[in-house]
Amino acid sequence: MEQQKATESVNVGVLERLACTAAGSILVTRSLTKPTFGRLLGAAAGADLMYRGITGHCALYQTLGLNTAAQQRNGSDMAASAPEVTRSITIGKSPEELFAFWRDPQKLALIVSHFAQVTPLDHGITHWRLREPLSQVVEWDSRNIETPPSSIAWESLPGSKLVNHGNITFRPGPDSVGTEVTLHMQFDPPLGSVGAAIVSALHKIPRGVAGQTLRRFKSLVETGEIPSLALNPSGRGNSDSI
Amino acid sequence: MKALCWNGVNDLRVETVPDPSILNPHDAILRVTMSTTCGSDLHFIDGYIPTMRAGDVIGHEFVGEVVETGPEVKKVKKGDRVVVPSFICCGQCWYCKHDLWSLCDNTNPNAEEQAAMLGYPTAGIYGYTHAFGGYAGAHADYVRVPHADVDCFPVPEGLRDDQVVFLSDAAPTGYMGVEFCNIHPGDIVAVWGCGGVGLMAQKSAFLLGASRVIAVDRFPDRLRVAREKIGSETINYEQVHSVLEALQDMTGGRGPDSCIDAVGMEAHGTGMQYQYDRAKQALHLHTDRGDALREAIMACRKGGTLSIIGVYGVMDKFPVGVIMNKGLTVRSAQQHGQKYVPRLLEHTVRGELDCSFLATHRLPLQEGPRGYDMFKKKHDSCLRVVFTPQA
Repeated sequence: MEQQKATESVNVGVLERLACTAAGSILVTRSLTKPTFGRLLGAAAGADLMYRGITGHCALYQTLGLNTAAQQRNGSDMAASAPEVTRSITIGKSPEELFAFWRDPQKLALIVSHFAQVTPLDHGITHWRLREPLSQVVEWDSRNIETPPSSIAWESLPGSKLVNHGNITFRPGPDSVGTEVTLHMQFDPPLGSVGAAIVSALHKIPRGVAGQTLRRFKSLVETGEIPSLALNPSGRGNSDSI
Repeated sequence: MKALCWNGVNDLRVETVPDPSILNPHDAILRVTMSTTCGSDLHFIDGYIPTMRAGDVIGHEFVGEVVETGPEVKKVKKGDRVVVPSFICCGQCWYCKHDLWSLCDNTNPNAEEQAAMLGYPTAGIYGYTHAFGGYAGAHADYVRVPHADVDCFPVPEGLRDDQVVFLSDAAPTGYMGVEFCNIHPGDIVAVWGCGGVGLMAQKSAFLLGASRVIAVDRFPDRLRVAREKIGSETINYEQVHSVLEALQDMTGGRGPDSCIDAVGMEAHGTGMQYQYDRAKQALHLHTDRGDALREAIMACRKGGTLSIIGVYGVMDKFPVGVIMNKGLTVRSAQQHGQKYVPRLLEHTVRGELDCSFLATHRLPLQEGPRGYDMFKKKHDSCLRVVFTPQA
């Protein structure tokens, strides 16, 4: 109960708290370095902002019944289910071309190389191994179920360390925009602490990874290359590859 | 190679960094022969826009010589002198094919991160934050140019670097801003800002048929350039009671047919907009950073066009009611340079356009930090500093 109350007293989200603290500090510092009437008023407001930032509590929010921290907590709660993601992109090619491109193991390996290493095995089976830091625990074999030219589904084979399935669909878009492509991926991690760790790690990536996968697919099909920062010169050297 | 690197707020240094190399099949490597400062660089130099990383090579407006090409580069050849628009464009996606080049779908390696801020990603830019691609910039001995056949425009014989370097960004940005105005004979165009982009917008307004151009700024030397080099009429906003009234007096009470904002504001991180708004609301803080845009909205005649080519991050107090009730058309974009460079080169060859007057100061790249400092402080009537990397 005590903990519940403490949680409720935090009604300002994390980013907002950081911003409040920073803005508040600036206002207070300004008034200290060169006090004027206006700046002292600002300092009072700055102190309030800092309080808001440091404690995470806003009286105005309480009065208005707002709670930006709870929105963020609820967001994390939702993420506690099995990692699943659906993303869409429009690509300026026909469904037939995209279907043929995706089912080519070498091209697929290039498209997903930002998060997985894909190796074609015999009988239409591919071996997947996630990149670091999950490469030690997460690998599986998968098989495609093809419905040309509208979709390719896949599922991990029995015995996989990470049970997962997904599909990509190709639907003609209006006029000359090309094909609407939707990628769906779902992971069903094992139970127990290892499973929880995988779920936790996977939750940080799927939406971005799926989006990036589609963007890489689009760029490769439309332009023949994937934009890259590998070997990008900088004062940090040339290792901007992401 | 030597390159001008951003290392933090107001911390630029010339450093030795690795040379770029051909990475993708449509890449070319250019030996940079001239590059220039741009006002938009000041936003991250001052620390107002996020996603810079210490060590980033900056610079996005340049001309150079092709020294190496990838296996799929067919048109551009080693030895070509080329000018390159600041946005990197694939030439294949829907946006490129519809002449909306800066919205290219295929050149931002950090598209996912940027889409989180804008809803959808834009094209990548050289040397301009990781949200906009993270590509190394052109204040360097060499630069990698992806999609070289699409993005490299050969420089016609007889044109100097200082005549074409601004065709990389300032000139097409200004030209586009005027094209947005759909100028009719007799139109009067007002332009806020007499920096490189504003001056190019004023020049373009005349090229595209405006009868009169009125420039608004506060620096007497820049206003003088607008009068003497372009033929603009000028308003020094620090010396008039009201820019709105001054413009009304100059236009028979109608107001300018089109108003172009070539000022922009010091951008703030978009993710912080809510916090920023709330802090301002709570504190009654005011900032004059949106004044040019608000003034342009007020001054524009009924049914006129507002063209926004200044760079914005977060904007508050945007008087949409004025736009709505006066029936204004609002147009805006980052520059679609690949659409405009060919015709700007034609104007230059015909002698109708010579941007070289913008290059008020010429320095070797080694003096990059000093160049940006004088550019930022507008010392010595500085409009633009151009760098010659291998001088």
